[in-house]
Amino acid sequence: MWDVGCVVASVLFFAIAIGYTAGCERLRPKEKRA
Amino acid sequence: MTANGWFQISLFFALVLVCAKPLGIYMARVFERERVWTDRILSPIEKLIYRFTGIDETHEMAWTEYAIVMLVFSLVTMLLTYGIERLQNFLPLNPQHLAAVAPDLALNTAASFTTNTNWQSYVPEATMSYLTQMLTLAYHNFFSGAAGIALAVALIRGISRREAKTLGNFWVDMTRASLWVLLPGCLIYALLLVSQGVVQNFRPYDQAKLMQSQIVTTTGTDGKTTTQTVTTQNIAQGPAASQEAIKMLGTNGGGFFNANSAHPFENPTPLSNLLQMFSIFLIPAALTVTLGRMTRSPTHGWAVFAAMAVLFFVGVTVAYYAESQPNPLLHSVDQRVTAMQAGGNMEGKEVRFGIANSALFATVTTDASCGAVNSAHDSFMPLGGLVPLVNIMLGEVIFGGVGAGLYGMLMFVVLAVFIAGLMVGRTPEYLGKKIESFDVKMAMLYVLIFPLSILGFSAVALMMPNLGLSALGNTGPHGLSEILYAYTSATGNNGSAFGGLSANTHWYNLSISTAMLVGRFLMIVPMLAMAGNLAGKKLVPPSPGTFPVHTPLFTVLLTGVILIVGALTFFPALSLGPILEHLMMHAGKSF
Repeated sequence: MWDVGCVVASVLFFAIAIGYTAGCERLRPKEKRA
Repeated sequence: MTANGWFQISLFFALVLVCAKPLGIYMARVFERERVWTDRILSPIEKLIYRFTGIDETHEMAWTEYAIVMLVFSLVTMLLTYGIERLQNFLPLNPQHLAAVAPDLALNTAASFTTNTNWQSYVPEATMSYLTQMLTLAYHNFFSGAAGIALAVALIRGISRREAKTLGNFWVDMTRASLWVLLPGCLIYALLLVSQGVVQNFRPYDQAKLMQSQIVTTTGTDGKTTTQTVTTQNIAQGPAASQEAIKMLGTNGGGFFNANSAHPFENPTPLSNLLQMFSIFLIPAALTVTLGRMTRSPTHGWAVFAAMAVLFFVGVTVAYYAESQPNPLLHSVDQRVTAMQAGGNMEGKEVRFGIANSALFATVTTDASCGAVNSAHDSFMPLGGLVPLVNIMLGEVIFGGVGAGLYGMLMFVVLAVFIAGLMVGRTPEYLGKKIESFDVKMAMLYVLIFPLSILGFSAVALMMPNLGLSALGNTGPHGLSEILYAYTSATGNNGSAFGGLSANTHWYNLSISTAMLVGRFLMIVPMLAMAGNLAGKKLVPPSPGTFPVHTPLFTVLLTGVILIVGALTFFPALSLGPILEHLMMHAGKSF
């Protein structure tokens, strides 16, 4: 049970970090986005 | 303080200064794909790696792709590390038959080494098999360090490129950082360490018969005390030299043995001690030269180096002075410096290294995000212990971790340039790029996430008697410092421990894991976003309103911004911890 929790928590953190990357990109002025 | 102590500190810094330029130029040539003398051996290996892994070395990545590839790579390697720790009892190279690592500790360790922190809530020689140490921990020591260098190079490219949409290729930068920088450095360095007596073998632990048996009393978790007579001692062995080399050169800091660089098998001689401190600063210092060369502004690189050097000397002076002073609570003890004793505060210090080299090591390891220790920071005088804490709180930008120190410092450079622009009423410019609202937002996001994690987690731990406070070894301001240091070290990806905190609990393992991940990845993303934005900008010719970034005035402004941001953010917490402890010590009370 602990193992499942640890793996899920890790994946969740990195999913949030990827979403955060997308969020930072959305903050950029539109004409400059990649 | 003694002349001999200052001579050793000066010798250390002179070595760093002399070696920074050639290595910095070498790294600039490596990352700009110019010819270097190691190409003949390493280029065929690089080509083979790309062919085997299917990497297109000509593919350029936008900042978002660079960030996502880095994140996915980190997740996969972190999960593999977790798996190997949990299965080490079924795997080879485990002559001590060590059990599987507990799940919360395995997660903490996997997060710790993935983030270049190397926080260790365990005794390595009693917890990790040789395979776990070599296949996962040493692997992360290389690749988390290489990732840091790659990220710093990506930011430098963002500053130096004009109207570009890309920052390079993460895989290529990682490969070149590993093959051209870390691997050759570690090969030479490991041999030097072996020559000094650092062990390198796969033997089971030696067992020595004690000259005098010891009676040991222990108290179990159920409160029962047991007394036993100990007649033998296990002397740990293992492939320490190879781990030690990357531990220091990659500013990782995780010890092969629990005593870290105070252990005679990890750091046997004064020369190995000097080499260890030198190797912590070598790449971070050289990267300032790389910055100057890649941005075609070498004097800017030296101005950044100067700001780092000023902050380093302030720190080491305070730490050395504080540790050299007699403890006012020990009235009847002779604490003078004589030929027979070091004087000052020798508690928690190796007699082999003395006060100067302990204060210097503590300053260097926390200026950088290394975290290796050759003395117990918990035993430092309150102001001596304040220095490592403040060094990490300033963002570990005083040379800093490999790559991480430079990109952290460049975020402060952007803030300094922005403040200078506000003062003269002009749009701020940095090396010909206009600094606009998005860049400042990203710099502020980078700067604010750091204290949010440190102060947030510390506050929660301090408010929970059963989870946070029950693990403390000391009360009062010293206890506060122990908790504050733990989260500062974790978020700063330093990894050193103040001591006095039994951190191998569910709460600390999980909360420190989160702090380490937040302090690494949620700070890298805004840094890369700013790099991507800067890369796309046009170059503006310098005008009379441009603030020059290669002058002593710039160095003073940069130093001031770092100190003010750090002081404003953390002064209240510091005043309740080490500063209050210092004042109470002089009032006759210790904790």
